[in-house]
Amino acid sequence: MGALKLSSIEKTYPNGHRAVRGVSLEIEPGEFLVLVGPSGCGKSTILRTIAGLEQLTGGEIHIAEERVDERLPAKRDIAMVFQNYALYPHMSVYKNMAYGLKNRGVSKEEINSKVTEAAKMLQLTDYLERKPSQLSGGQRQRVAMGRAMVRSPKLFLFDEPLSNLDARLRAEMRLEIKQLQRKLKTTSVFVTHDQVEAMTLADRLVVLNQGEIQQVGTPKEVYHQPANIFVATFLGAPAMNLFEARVTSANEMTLNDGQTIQLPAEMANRVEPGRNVTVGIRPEHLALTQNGQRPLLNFETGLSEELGTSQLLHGKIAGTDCTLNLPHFDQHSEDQLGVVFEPKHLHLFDVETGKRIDHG
Amino acid sequence: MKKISLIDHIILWAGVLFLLLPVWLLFASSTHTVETIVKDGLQLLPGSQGFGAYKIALTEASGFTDVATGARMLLNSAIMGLGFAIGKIIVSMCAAYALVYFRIPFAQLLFWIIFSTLLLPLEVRIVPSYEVVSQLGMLNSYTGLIVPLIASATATFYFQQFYKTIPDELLEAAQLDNAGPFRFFIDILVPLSRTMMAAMFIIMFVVGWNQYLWPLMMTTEESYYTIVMGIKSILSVMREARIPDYSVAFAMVILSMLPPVAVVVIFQRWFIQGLVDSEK
Ligand SMILES: Nc1ncnc2c1ncn2[C@@H]1O[C@H](COP(=O)(O)OP(=O)(O)OP(=O)(O)O)[C@@H](O)[C@H]1O
Ligand SMILES: [Mg+2]
Repeated sequence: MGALKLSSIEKTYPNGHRAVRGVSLEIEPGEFLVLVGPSGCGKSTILRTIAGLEQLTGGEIHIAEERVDERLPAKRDIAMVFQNYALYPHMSVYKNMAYGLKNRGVSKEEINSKVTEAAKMLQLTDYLERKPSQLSGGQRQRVAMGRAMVRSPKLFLFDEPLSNLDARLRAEMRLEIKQLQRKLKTTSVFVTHDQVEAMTLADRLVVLNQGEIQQVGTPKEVYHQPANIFVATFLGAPAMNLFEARVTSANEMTLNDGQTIQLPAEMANRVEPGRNVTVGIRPEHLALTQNGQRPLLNFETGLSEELGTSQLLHGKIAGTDCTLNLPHFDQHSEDQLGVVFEPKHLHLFDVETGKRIDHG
Repeated sequence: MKKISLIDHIILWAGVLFLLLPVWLLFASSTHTVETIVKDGLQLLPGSQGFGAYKIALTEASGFTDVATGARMLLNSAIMGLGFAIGKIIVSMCAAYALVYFRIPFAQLLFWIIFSTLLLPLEVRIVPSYEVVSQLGMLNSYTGLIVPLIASATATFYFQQFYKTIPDELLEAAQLDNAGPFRFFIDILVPLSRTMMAAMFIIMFVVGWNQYLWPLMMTTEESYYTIVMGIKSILSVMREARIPDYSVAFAMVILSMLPPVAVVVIFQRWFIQGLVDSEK
């Protein structure tokens, strides 16, 4: 029983651009699903086809077991929050929220009680008579949410609703949206290109690239077991470090400059010697050697950046750019440093396909 | 700094005087007797007659019948100006709505056809227009005066450009809010166009008010004469070897200027207010 089901949906724009290529997804009732991907990957397009603002060119969309892709947007029982809020500029906050209900023939008393309730929940009670131009960005954002909420739809759609806010407000609203969704238990699809937003909000994360799903999973799964190189480098800042390597024996790989890495125990015998692989490791999983520890790899130091909670150290391993995320701030003046890591944090990808070679 | 603003003000005042002086001359002269005007020319100072000429201008008919009083002609002009302006705004808003928001076959071509009518002002097509109106039996009627003039390429163009600046998301939000095309137009586009409508109203009312050629062709009954035609007919008694009633004619000119001035003053305030608390 899915709340929303996409069956190999396709969208080719009239100019021939194939923005969505056979995307299939099933969303459980009450789930908060986040679509994330780089700019232009088709996130908005998917959302807009669900809303009915774009026509599908293939596939089907079901909401609560009913096929909706032939229906008008207003008949799909969904509500959408737009990136620029799309509030009606000439209407008061109250009227903005009431408009959709009014057009559906809801009685005045019911509209009044619903809008008042939503306004209370969103702390907008004092602003009901104001015009959108007299509100701050965060308040406008809330009005847009309120407009979606009052209709109690089966599905909320959010298209980068936080991207017009400054960083601090964004973090605040992020939390608010999450709390609100928990309270209302409305199935939600949220589009963003901001990975922090994606990781923090999602019950389940869908990573997209060029109109295709790369991976679906909980934020943890996607972060710790990326299905391919794209997902591995897209999530996480700074991005995962990647090195070209060649498996030279049952339990060893060699980098370009001859340095060797032990294969993780569970990977031994899973990759045949002679195979070329891409090895990935996240910046926070690399550490510097301490008091006489034996280095696993040599690191040529470059610039460092201070982040407050940690320090980024840029440099090269085996001639490839590499970044370390170090929890303790130290000034490093040496040209060469030793680097250690735990083998379980290594990710292996096939060179040709970019797919993860699984620990199994 | 001070000096510059002084010069600015001098230039400004010079401009104001230059524009207002003829109007003042008309007004001052209209309060003199006809003899003074004929003997001594235009007067700079108000004369002895007060507003007598205005009373005559408003209440006494100048033509062959009794109906074409100044008041009647002012009313005709007002109907013409209002009908012209409101009609143009309604028609061009609807046309622009269709062009911008609906997928019409050959929309681009239609737009250019509408646009090319700018090359055919009334003066060019007055004979065929007259023919059409007369065959429809609309001579000597307000409908005949107004309807043939209310299609406007300029206003359509302005409204079209304006609609294009309205974000698409507003339409999409309205779609999700179950607002059909008619609701969207009435509830969203029209209120957002208020400023634009005020601006159009100012321009179109003045243009409509000042129409001369078309009413002249269209109306043979004096009860449909407009004020602009009336001024002419007072002065044309010259042909009958009489001294025209200059003071009355001047009074009529002043009277005919008042409504457009009032419209500009009133709607300009609206217009500027609309620009200031820009809501888009
Ligand atoms: N109306 C359109 N006609 C043709 N191509 C379009 C149209 N709208 C979007 N596209 C193309 O489809 C692709 C996907 O667009 P979409 O808006 O879904 O991207 P997105 O993932 O939302 O990106 P962003 O994060 O920048 O919003 C883009 O390459 C875009 O150029
Ligand atoms: Mg987008």
